[in-house]
Formats: sequence, structure tokens, C-alpha cells
Amino acid sequence: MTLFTNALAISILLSVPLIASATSPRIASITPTGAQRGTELELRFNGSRLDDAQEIVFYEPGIQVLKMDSAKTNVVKAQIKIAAACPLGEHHLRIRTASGVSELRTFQIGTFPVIKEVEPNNAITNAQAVAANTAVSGSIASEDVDYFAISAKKGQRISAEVEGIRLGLAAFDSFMSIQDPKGTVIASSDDTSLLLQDSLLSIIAPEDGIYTVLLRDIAYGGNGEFLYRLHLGDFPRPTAVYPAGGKAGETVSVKFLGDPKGEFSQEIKLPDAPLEKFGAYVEQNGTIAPSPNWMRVSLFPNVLETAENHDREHATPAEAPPPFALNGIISTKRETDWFRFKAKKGQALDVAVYARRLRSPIDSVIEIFDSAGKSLASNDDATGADSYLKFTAPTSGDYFVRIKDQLGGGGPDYVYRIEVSPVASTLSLNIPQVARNDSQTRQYIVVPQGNRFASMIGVKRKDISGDVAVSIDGLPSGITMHADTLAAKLDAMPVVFEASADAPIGGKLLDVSAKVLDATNSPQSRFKHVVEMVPGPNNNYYYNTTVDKLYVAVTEAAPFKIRIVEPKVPLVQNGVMDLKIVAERSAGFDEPITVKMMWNPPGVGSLPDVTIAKAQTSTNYTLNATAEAQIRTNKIAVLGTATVKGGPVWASSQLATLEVAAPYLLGKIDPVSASPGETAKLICKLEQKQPFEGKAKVKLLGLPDKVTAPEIEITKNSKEALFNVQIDPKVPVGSHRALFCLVEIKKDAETISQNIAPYSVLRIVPPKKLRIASANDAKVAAK
Amino acid sequence: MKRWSTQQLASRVRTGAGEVSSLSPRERAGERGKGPCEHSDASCLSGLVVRWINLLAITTLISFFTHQTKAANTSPDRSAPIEVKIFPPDVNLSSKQDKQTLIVQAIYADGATRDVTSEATFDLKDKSLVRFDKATLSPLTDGKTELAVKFGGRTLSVPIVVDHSTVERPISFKLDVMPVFMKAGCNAGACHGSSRGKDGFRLSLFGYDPDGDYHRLTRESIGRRVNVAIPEESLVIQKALGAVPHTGGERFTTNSPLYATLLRWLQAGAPKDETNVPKVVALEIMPTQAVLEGQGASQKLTVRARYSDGGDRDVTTLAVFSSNNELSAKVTDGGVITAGQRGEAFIMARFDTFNVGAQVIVVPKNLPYKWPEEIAEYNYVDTLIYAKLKKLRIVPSELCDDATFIRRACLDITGTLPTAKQVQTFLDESSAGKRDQLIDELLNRKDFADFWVMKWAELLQIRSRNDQFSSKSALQYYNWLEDRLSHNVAIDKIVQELLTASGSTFKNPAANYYQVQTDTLKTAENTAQVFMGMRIQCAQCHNHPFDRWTMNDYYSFAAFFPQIGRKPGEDPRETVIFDKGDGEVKHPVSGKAMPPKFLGGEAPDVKDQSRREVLAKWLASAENPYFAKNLGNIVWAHFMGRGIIDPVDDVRISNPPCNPELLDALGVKFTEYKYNFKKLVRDICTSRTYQLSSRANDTNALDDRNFSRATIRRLRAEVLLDCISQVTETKDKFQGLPRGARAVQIADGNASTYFLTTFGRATRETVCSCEVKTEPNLSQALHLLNGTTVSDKINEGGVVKAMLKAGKNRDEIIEDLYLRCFGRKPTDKEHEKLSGFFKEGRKDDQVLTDLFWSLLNSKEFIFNH
Repeated sequence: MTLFTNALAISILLSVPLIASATSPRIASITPTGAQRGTELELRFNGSRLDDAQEIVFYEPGIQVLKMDSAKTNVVKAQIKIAAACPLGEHHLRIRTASGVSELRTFQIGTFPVIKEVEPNNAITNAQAVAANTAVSGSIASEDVDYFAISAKKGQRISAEVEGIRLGLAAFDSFMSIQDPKGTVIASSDDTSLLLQDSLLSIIAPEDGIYTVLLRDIAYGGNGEFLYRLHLGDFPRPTAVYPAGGKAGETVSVKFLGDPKGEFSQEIKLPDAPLEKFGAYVEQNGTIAPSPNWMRVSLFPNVLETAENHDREHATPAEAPPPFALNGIISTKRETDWFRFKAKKGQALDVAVYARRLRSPIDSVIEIFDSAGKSLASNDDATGADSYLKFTAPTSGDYFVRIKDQLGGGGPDYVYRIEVSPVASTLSLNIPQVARNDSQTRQYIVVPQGNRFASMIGVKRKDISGDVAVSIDGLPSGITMHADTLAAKLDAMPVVFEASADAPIGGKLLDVSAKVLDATNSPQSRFKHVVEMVPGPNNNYYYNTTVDKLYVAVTEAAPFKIRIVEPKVPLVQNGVMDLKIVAERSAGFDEPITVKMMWNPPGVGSLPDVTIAKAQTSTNYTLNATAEAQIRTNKIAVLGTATVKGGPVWASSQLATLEVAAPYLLGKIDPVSASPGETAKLICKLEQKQPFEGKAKVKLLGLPDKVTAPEIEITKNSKEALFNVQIDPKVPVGSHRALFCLVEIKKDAETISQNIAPYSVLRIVPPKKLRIASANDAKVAAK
Repeated sequence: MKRWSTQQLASRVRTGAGEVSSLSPRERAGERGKGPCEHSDASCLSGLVVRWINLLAITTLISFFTHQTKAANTSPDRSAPIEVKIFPPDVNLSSKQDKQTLIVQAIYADGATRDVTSEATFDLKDKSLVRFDKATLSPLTDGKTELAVKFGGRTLSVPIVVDHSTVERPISFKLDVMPVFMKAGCNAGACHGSSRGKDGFRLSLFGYDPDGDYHRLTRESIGRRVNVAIPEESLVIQKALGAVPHTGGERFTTNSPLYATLLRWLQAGAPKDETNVPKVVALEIMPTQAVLEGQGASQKLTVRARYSDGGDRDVTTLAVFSSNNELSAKVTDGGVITAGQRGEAFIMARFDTFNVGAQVIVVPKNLPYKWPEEIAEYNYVDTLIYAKLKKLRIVPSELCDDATFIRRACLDITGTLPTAKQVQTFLDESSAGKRDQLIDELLNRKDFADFWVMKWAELLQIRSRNDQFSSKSALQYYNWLEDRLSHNVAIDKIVQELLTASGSTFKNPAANYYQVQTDTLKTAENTAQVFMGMRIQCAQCHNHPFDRWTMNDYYSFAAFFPQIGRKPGEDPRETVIFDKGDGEVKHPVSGKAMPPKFLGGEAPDVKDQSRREVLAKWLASAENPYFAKNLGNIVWAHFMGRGIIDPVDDVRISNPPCNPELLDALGVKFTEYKYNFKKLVRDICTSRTYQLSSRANDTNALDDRNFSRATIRRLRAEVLLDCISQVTETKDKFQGLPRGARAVQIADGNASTYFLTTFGRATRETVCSCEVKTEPNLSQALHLLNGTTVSDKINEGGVVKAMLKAGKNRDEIIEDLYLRCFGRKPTDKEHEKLSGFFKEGRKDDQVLTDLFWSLLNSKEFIFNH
């Protein structure tokens, strides 16, 4: 990358507009994008509002910050030390400042020394020479092609692997090719099953000499954000591991497949706890592959396919009853693999394929057959390309599961794993996205000292129902969490965090857990934050990463607090309520505060947000309830945001109670016709549902211009409300179909507003005495 | 201030007058008369004014010689025909009302024909069997006999079979009444055939739904349209006679056979047909060719329909006749053609769902014409082209010179200009076979493949569309195509790969065929248009009015495509295409699932098979009568500037080939060559016809469709830009391609530049061949003159400066510039005129740069001639 493009790159990075309601501090880029473990280096964070940076929060262990320098608002420099035993691969991090928390970013840890790409290297003639087993940190400018030269002896393995899309920075869709010493292209790579859009080459050198690797964007695209780490050397690069998983805590003997030197076996010690994806880094002769092959860690044993299991007759038997994991490879085109297992009558089983999510090329289709060969259930895609089905055995006996590739594909690395286990319930927790295509905003808890912060917590229940309690253990000192239980019918609720005025500024990564209250055996719960790193077309994304901890921090006091004046009266079905929101402003702070309902209880509606105007201290937030609104007591909260020192700061209200109740009365108005200049008598027949104290005001609304009806009063005994509707002589004729009555009942000095008699009709017709019959009328009549 | 106006340019191209180079003297004078300051563009002020004045003068130098061919005089002999034909050649009369009209046509040695029905003598062997009156036969008794026809010393015999001569065929709604609506025009689109009907009454357009029509006539408004008690009073009759107010006026009179038929049906109680009414299975028009001499010459036609029960019927009175060139040949309702001006016409007869046509050539009477014996036939192309030209009394132009040939062949085959050196070598070469050798060399260049990759990319609509079709998909699709064509994979294999493609659009880019277009019906339409040249869209809603395709044909063809499954691939831009194994196309009128049937072919067995595979096997094979011919025509049109059927993707009965024999021959050869289209291109390019001069002679000045001279064609946008870049030695950058890539290599149709858009590059939004535009417009002229492309590229390339630096003298540089732009050396006259510009004290590089600029702006550069 040239100096000019470097400067350009930076300016592009800085000019990226802030995402809607951006986090307070922001990281635009991290340089370098990765490092070798066991080294010390300076990390440079470019971004904005970083001047009060206090901490770099690493989600994974192994990286120690020795020194931090945040003199400038847009740059933080940190001297870091990476432990020799630091876990390899993607590390997640955030920056915490005194006033806020940044979005989540990633940083790569590898085993190879890192060098910088040196331009010009745009032609085979000026290819940058690279020593074996090096990571080149580079970038692709527009139309840029980068060449690297590596020397190899005949028979030696040459492997090249790009980390581009996996850096999570840009939609860099790499293309790579390798030329032999004579200049002939001997291999090329675009997308790979293992590494998504990232390219991968691994060949055996046919002769001694200098080999040249070309790297570019597939469509000659590029800009300053197309950064990459190119790993070049003689490292092993298998494309699959078999079996792709095993029992937690065990050491599994696996075969690594797809390496140009042929398959080889190794022992892999699996983690002690189940894992969706475990990265197995293959090592040969002291060289470790730059990225892992993926394995699944479960709680049950493996069943490996037998050689001839391509029809029902030769199905591989699973001797023990479920749970177990069936493992195999669809090694040739149009191959089908069969397994046999025993199930008891009525036994419900989850049959889940783990293949594509472990980066296998197979697009699985599974089908269950009974012992007579009758098909009972089948599935193609459920979790991406991976199949899943829930199967209940109709009788006790033998069953068969068949797997194949949907397109009849097959190959040596078409590895699959089918987990057959009794249906297990789970609870998945998350913070629902606050805006479309925004997986970063407020995906953490940030509570100003002496203030409150609110977040929604979502719970997805699989194969279980009931009320759920959410808890977070080990909250930073001074923080209290306020949450209701999540009712069985709901899948998200507001949670308010409150920090005492003296809560120390700092943060913690915490586990969020949930429990089903009435269940004897509450299922496992898991919190997940999926960060969509590189957006793609159609609201999709090219690359995402997942963390399972919630970051909770206490920040400096905010210059405002808000609270809900808790209503003493309910919001009734078909009713309206003005919820009063009060702000307490610090002296000198008079910025407008935008207030947003965290959620609307079922059947309740509200504006997306309202504003407490500049220097004002309160506003009304109008809520309305439909006729079908659920009658229940809800916990609500509002979140206020204001711009402080150039960035948004949030503070929420307390968790307030909002009761949705049945209406006091119903009404019905029969259609009325009247002429301009007349006074129409409009009767609203009332059906009293529950008694109320004193008198209620009834207003007739939805009347056309110059038509008036005086407000009247009713009591709990009134059977009807009579309106004398004055119609001005100048009112044009026409039909008005949107009349309704607003009933206002006073209770505890507050007003319960309710609409009755919706869509009532008033027809304004021409005066009869002025009407002159015309020839046209006669025609109409005759028809 | 302008160099040439677009109107002038347009008229040049249209008349094809062979004047490629520059303005006529009068035009030049006019141009000079206008001062440069008349131009409103501010950019023309300052230094450019001087430059333009010079350029004008320079351009006038660029000229061609004119040349004319003289034809010798001969007078035709009409005393003895070389052949006499009788139509129809056999007669079957199978009911009491049956009739058959006969036509006798004489054919002469020079190709001329005459309708000699009235002059011939007829001799009936057994007069008790049939009545013969005014060349029409009607039955008397059952039996077999013969009719002897004599003319010009020749005797022909027509076998006659009479059957059921006393049986009156019952009136049928479908067989008798429906044709009345067609003939009288009742069910035309502007009348009751409109989708909403007309004045409250609707008939199916061109009768695609007879059952519906029967319902609407008799049941929709009971008691209104038909009156079986007093049939003559039926509204349907009253309206047609114009007896009551009728927007359509009088359609026929009471003595018309149409009236008689309608009345007979009503008198019979307006019966509904039984279910087993025979269907029309074929329609014949006779004769299919006529060469008429002199204005007023006439030829009668006879039209015979064949039915599914094996019977036939003379339907001349029921067929709807039309001519595509009334100036040359008019046709009456009764099927009599009358010759008009010299020219060619196609007479179409429509009956039921069938359309058939006859080709008519009109030549002046006693035209002095002799075919020059020295004109050689290089291959079958010439043989067939000459045969047609002889009929038309046209003599082809002379061969073009070597300089023109190398430029033409390079542009047509590779889309590039020959270099100065290549031109020089070619001109110096003296061997007889050097043109053929050049063609072989050009065909083996990668540029040839690139050119056809672009053309196929247009047909396959390789173009990114926001979130639906990514630029990566477009690139991969293009690369796949390039791989196939550059490896000379036979076209039938490529087409089969496309049609049967399954899997990920990233891993198998051919599968993008089903991603570019995801609608079932449109996929069928595009398939028909691209690979068979047929536009079947009309038949989606009604039977095709000018072709043979019915709604049944349309939906049966579409039935090959409803089982295509699509699901998202791993990459958000990727789609996986697969066969679902279920899904049907339903006929909108009957609501029935249509069985798949080849367009113009049989209904294959598709049980337990991928329908696409069944289709692909037939479509790209010799069994499909349209595939090879269509591709042959596309190739022909590229090299000759016009298709044998034109436009190439509008194959229909009413748009007939101008030389059907040649089209057939190209199809046969292409099949023989196993769809290796390099061989076909070689046949075309090595023909004498391809190598003709663009200059017209006395006989072919008006001919623009029989390939009697080369067509002057503006270079298409991509080629023009590539040529400008080539001669100025500059590089272009297109989105998604590395710098230096040529415009013909643009993978993604969505990537374009101002230049390419202005010059009518295909947007690849449709499969239509009309997307590529070579019509001139003002923007193009202004862009070449004032725009950045030409001027900037001259400066950027620095060709003139480099040559000066290399020590070349003026004349050498002038010669180089002429050779690189025009593929020829400047004439002495041009040299002489140019030398004048150097005397005015201007610097050499300035004058030479201006010369370069004017060469690039000349018509000789912009056109392939």
C-alpha cells in the first residue's frame, strides 16, 4: 500500500458516518489487524470520542495491556503483551472510556511473525519476497493486485491462506492464485467451504524455485478497508477433520483431510464442556495452521460410519440407545449413508446435522425410515444448509436415518455429524437489536453513576414454556438489576440497571442466565450476542462473530435523569393515557432529551419516541390500547438519550407499572341523518361494564368542520348519552363515518380516557323542502 | 459548427450509397459557410476554432473512388416455360358442399412466373364424377378420376377423389362459424377481440377460445345475440350487415358466403359442437413463390387446410390475406395478388391458428439484364445468394479491395483494427489464398472468442441488479462463458449445460441462467427467443396473430420450467438451483396443468426425469428445426449487418427469411460442423458475398436485404471505443476489470461508461437483439467532437509525439496514421492537400495531432465498410 493510499484509507475510515444512535466511544480501525503470540507490540485504535479511554476489554484471555495512551480524541495507543500460550484466532474486544463503551471489534492472534506488505508489488516482477510461515499484513486498494514470492523445494508444501472477510472489516472477496517458477498458474482459489469468502491454496511444489502468489479482489474492487492477513508458508492446511466432534473432555483420534500431503491422524483433546464450535488447530512439525478446523463438542459418544453403509441393508448400527452422534463422509457423488438405531415407542428425538456450520461443503438432506423401509420424516435445510428434524418413534424398534447431499455432491471432505438425542429444551438469551441491521448499538449495559440504564432482554424457549426469571451474577458493585419475571406468552422484557452514586467506574464481562420458574429441571440457558461484522445484500451479512458474555459497566455521572410518573389509574382497552415523563437536569444542562418506550406491552401502542424539549423538564408520552390489548399488569421503562460532549448518553427511568384493564363502559350510536342548519339528536347507547365514582365527561369527536356537539356528563347509571349536534347551514352534504365518543373518568385525581362507539355515522343530507325533482331522478327511479 | 450532421450520417447509412468517407462537395461548401462561432458551445472558442478550420479541410481529403457495374441487355423468352405447376397437385372432395379451386403457374428460365390458369386447357377424364367450372371442381358422384391440364406444350395430371358426394356436412360452430369471425375481422384486437371486448360484446382474440365464444354468443346475454326463431333477426347478423348501428360498420353483405354460413348455423338452432370436432392440423398456401413481371401482373393463391380426421378443405375464401409490402404486391380478400412496384413482398394467409406465407418478387417487364459470367461462386453461400439475385435481376457489386477487406475482417472477426504493419504485410502479400489465410488467422485469435462471449453475454443478460444478482455472479457467469467459448466448446453443449445447470450459482455459474430470470413464463419466453429466435410472448394471452403459436404451445413449452427450485446459498449473493420434482404450469383458460411439449415439436415423456434435461436434449439438437438455423442466422447477421431473418430474434411466419434456402443451408452446415461455429464463420467470411464492395451498381442500388453488396455498418459501441483506444495506444478502466481491459470484455452489463452508453451499448436488460443500437444521434456526434474520449486519448497516448521523437518524418507519420485508422495509405491527393497545412507556419505536431483527431472523427473510421 502506498503512502497515498494509506492516507486515503484513513480518511475513508474516518469519514464513515456514525451508525444511528452510535455508542459513545467508537473504534473505526485497529492497526495492525493481528499479531503473533508471545510478542509485545503497540496497537493503535483510530476512532472518535476516545480521549477518556480507560480500558481495553478483551473477551478472551492471553492479552495484557502494558500501557495505554489516549491523549487524542481519535486515537488510542496501547502497548500490549501477548502471552505465549494465548489462544489462537479471533479475539473480541471493546474500549471502555470514563463515559461509555465502544462497539465490539476483533483482533487476530496467530503463530507466525507479522510483516507489512510493501508496495509496489503489483506485478510478478516486483513480487514481495516473503520467508516461509509469515503473516503479511496488507491492503488492497482499488484494482490493486499484490504479488508475493516464496521459495520452495520440490515436494515441499506451499500453503497460502487469506484472512480478509474474517477480519470483519469489509466485503473483501479475495481471489488468489499461485504461479510456478516458469510463470504458469498452477492453482487458484476464490471462495472456500472452510474459510467462506477467504481464499486458500495448498499445493506440493513440483520443482525447486520461486513461487509467486497473487492476491486481489475477485472483481478488482478495493479500498482502504480491504485489509488482509496473508499467511504464507509450508504449514499444514487440511480442509476437514473427521470425526467432526466428540464427547466433552475426551481425547478423540481424528483424521485431518484435504491436505496436499495426504490425510493424517492426530489426537485432539476436547474441552470439558459442550461447545457449538471448537477450533482444532492442526500442528505438524512444529508448524500450526493459521486457522482451525471446526469440531462440535457434545455430551455423548460418537458412532463412526462403516465402509459399506450406502444402503439400508448395510446401515451402520448405533448399538446404544440415543443420545449419540453419527459421523461419516459423503465421499463420492450421489452417495447415501445409512445408520440404524433403536428407539422406544413415543420417544421424541432431536436429529440434528452438524456439517455446514462446521464448514463442511455438504448440503445435507436427512430422512428417517422405519424398519419396513417406510419414510417417516425428512428435512433439507433448517440451520442454514444443515438439516434438523424432531422425530417421535411411533413404536419401539429399529429406525434408519439416511443422509445425502441435496445436489448429489460428494467429496473427501464432505464430513457430517448427525446428533440424535432425546429432545432437550433450551433457553436462548439475547439483547434484541434496537434498530434494523444494527447488531452493535446498546448490546451492553452502561449505567451512569447515580443513574439508571434499561435494556430489553429476549428469551427464546425451545421445547419448554412458562414464566422465566433472568439473572446476572456478579454485577459490578453498586449496580442493582430490576426485572420482572418474563410471562409465558412474552419473549422479551425490559430490565433496569441502577447504579449508586458512589459505584466505582469500571466494567465486567458477565454471564446472563435464565430459569423457567415452574420447571423442576430448568433447561440450560445461554446468552449470545451475534455481531454482524460485514453486511451483505438483502439484509444479510457475509461474516458474523459471536460472544456469550454481556459487558456491564459503570460510567461517569450523566447530566440528567429521567423518571416515569407512575400512573395510579389503568390504561383501559380502547383507551388513551398520557404518561408523564419527568427529567432532572444538572445545572447548566439543557439539551433536548429523546425519550423512547423500551417496549410496548401487547396491544399497547405509542410513538417511536418523544422529546423533552430544550431546557424543559417534562413531557407527555401518549399510550393507547386496542380493544384486544392484553389485560395484565406490565412493567415498563423509558430510555432517555441526549448528546453529551458530542456523543449520546443514555439514562433510563425506573421500572414502572402499567396496568391494562377492561373498559368501564361500551357504547353504540345508530346512524343519524340531518340537514345543514338543523340540530340532530345523536344518542349513544351505553353499556356499563364496571361502576365508576362521580360523573364522567363524554365528548363527541370526529365531527366535520362547523358541526359541534357540547360535551355532556354521565354517571355510572346512565343508559345513554344524548348529544345535540348543531349543524351549521353552510356545512356541505356528505357522510361522516369516523365519529366516536371520548369518555373521561376521574379517579385518584387522574383521568382514565376511553373511546367508545367507534366508526359511528352522521349523514348530512340536503334539506328536504328545498329539493326539486329533476328528470334525472325520474330516470333513476325508473331503473 | 459540426463535421457532419447526424441526419446526413443517418441517410448515408440507410441508403447505403457506398460513400463512406466524407461530405459531398455541396455539403462541404455548406459547412464552410458556417463559421465556427455559430457553435453555441463555449468550448469551441479559443484555440479550437483554428483547429477546426484546418480539420474541415483535412477531412474533405478522405475519399473513395466510385465505380459502377454495367449490365448487358437481353430480352426474355416467354413462349415456352421450363416448368408448369398445378395447385393443388391432388384433389379430394369429401362432402356435398366441398369445392376446390385450381391454379396453374408457369415458370420460365429466368425465374419469372405467370398465373396461366385462364390460358391453360383442362380436360376432365370422367365428367360424371365432378363438375368443372371456372377452374373450380365440385362433386357429383363418388369415385376417382383425373384432370389433364395443358399449357405451353406441357401436360400435367391431377388425381381427383370424390367421396360422400351426397352427404351434406352438418354445420359446425368451430369449423364454419369461427372462421367467419376471423375473416370478417370480428375477433381482431381492435374489435371484439379486445380483452374487454367492444361495445359490450367480447370474442376471444383471433379465436383462441371457441367454447368461450360460443358461450358468449348464446348464453352470456340470452335472447340478445342470437335469435333461433327468426335467425335473420339475430343481432349478430344484423350488426355484421350494418343493418343496426355497428361501430365496426358493415362486415359483409347478404350475398356473402360468410352470411350464408352464419345464417345456416342459426337456422340449425345455433348448435354447439360435439366434443370430437376435427382440428386443423396443417395449412398450405399455393403457390409459395412467384416472380411477377411488370406492374399489374397477377397471381391467384389457393389455401387448403388439413384436418385431424384426414380430410382437407379449400379455405381460400375463409383465409385472411395480408401483404407486408403493398407497394410491390397487393392481395385481395379472395387471394389474388397484383404486382406493383419492383420489389419483394410476403403474402400471408391466416386460418384457424395457422399462418402460412408466399414469397412474391416483382420485377419490371422486359428489364434488360444479364448475369456477368465472370462472377465466381466461392462456396454454397454464393450459389444461394446468386440464385436469389438472379430472380431479382440484380448483379452483385465487385469485390472489395484488400485494404478494405483486412479492415472489415479484423473488425468483424476480432473487434479490433489491423495494425499498420499487418495492413502493409497483407497488401504486399501476393498469394491467391491470402484472404482465406487471414480469416483462419483471425479466427484463432482470442479476440474472436471475446467478441462472441460479449454477444452471448448480451443474450444471457449477464448484468448485475442491485441485491438480486450480484456483480460477482455476473463476473463468474461471464468467466464461465469465456472459458467455454475460448475452448471452442460446441454451442449445443454450452446450451445444454445452461439449460440443465444445477447447484450453486457460484460453483456452477451456468446455473445463473435460472437466476437472471426467475419467472417461469419469462424463462420459457427467453429460452425460445435466445435459442430459437422466437418471440412467443403474444401467445401467453391469445393465439399468436402472425405466427403459428397458440396458447397451448406457449403453456406447454413453459411447462418445462416450473420445477426449478431455488434456495439461498451460503454467500448472501449465491443461489442454489435444483429440480424440485414438482410444479406445473396451468393453462389460464382451461385451468389444466399443461403437459410439456417442445415448441413446434412433440410432447416428450418427462416422467421421473428432469424436464429441463429433456428439453435441453431436444432444444440444442438437430431434432429442433429452429436451433441451428437460428444460430446460423445470428452469425450471419453479425458479419453481413442484417439477418436472413431480420431481426434475428423475430422468427415468425409473417417475418420470412429473405433467402430461405440459404438459411436452411447454414442450419444444415452448422449441424454438420457439430455446432462448431468457427467453421460456420469461416464459410461466411470466405464467401465472395462477404467480400463484396459496399459500393452500389445500377442494379443493386435499392437492394438492402439480399446481400448484393456489403452493408456499411457503424461500429458497435464497444468496438468503437476499443478501436479508439487501440489507435491512440491508451488504456481504459471498466468497473470490475483491470486497467487495460477492452470494452468487449466487460463482464457485468451494468458496468458502462458515458461513451458506451451514448453509442448504444446493450444494457443486457432483455434478451432482445434490439438492445445494441447503432443508429447515430446528436450526442454521439457531439461526444466525438467535443467530448473527452477522442481528444483526451490522443493526448494521453502521445502517438504523434512518440513518432516525432522516434525521428519519423511528416509523410511517414501521415501514412502511419492513415494505416492505423483506416487500414489504407493516404491517396496522393490527400498527401498533396495535407502538405498545404504545414506551410502556414504551424508546428508539425499540432497539425499532425489535428489530422489524427480528424481521422478519428471521420465516417471512414467510425464505420465498417
